[in-house]
Amino acid sequence: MDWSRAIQNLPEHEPRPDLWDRIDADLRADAVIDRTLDDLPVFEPQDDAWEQIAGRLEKPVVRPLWPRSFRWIAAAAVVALVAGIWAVWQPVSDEKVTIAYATETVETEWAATPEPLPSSTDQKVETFINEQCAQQIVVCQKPEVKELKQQLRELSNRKMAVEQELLVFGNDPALVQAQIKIENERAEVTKELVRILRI
Amino acid sequence: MAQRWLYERYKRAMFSVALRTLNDYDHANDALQDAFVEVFRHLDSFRFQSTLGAWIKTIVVRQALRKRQLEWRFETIDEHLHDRPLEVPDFITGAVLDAAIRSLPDGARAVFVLAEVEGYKHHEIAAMLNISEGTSKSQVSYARKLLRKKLSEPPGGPGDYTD
Repeated sequence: MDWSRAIQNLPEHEPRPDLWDRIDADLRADAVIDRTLDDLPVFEPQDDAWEQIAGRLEKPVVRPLWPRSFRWIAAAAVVALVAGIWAVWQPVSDEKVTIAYATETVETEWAATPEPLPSSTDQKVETFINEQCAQQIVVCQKPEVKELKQQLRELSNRKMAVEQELLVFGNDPALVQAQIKIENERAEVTKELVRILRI
Repeated sequence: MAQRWLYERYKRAMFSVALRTLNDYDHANDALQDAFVEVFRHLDSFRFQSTLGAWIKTIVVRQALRKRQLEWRFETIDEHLHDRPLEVPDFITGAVLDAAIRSLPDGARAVFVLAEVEGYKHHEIAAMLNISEGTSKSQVSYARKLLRKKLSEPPGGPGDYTD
């Protein structure tokens, strides 16, 4: 069977007679909506909103001693310790077991709002791309390289924006997910860019 | 007082965003309060990557979305919304459109307001609402279909969009 000829000879069908009227009506309706979006009314918040905001600003901010993630780690450590002790003290033999332990204090610098720094890997990649582009000017003029570099810039801007929002909102799950997604996309774009520049 | 001035400068625009997104007066007031408290507590972290208004708006939107974090529902899109061409009047007032927007289902309304009224990009909305960019785009399209239908019906009719 000659598929290409059969496909070329497939019959044509008529759409419903009023389809254009529907399309035209939708387009006109969208134009009316778009035009009117600029005239949407503005609303006033309740009268005492400022007094309530000012009252909250005067109260001192109570921050948890340990961030939530550290609390989970601490809880996990306690569970692990209890499980370990229970496992060691099982009466499986008459041997005497002596448990020795030591505590270690790790000096950490606690900052209220840690400033995210660009990782050394990011810096290395950026340096590599710049060096390659300086040496291989023609390659860097390719549309796909320009496109990838543009994507990388946009993703870096989005990354910074999310990091700034994280400073305000803390570890908001949606923001953390967005941050992970952006990092993954950056990694993909960077990988592709490096691959092209190495050819 | 600089904080008061900033509040007065932005309160109406920001409250309108919150109210339009949530369609709930009390929740919108709560979101506005929470947002301005966050703004003033973190003003030193503003990096001038955007305008101050855009930065405040993002905080207001996030606070508004948090009010309904577990309640957002995105309706399955009905592709056969109407069986006749819809005639929307050539002129409608902003108040009429606002009422129609506020009558949309929660998910479609939030996405439509963020995309079409506030100008957020789909990838930004996707991150804010924890949905895919595809869902964001299709909900805007769905919202437009519903708006056309609501605006083509006479006030007091079966799909009356006024309160």
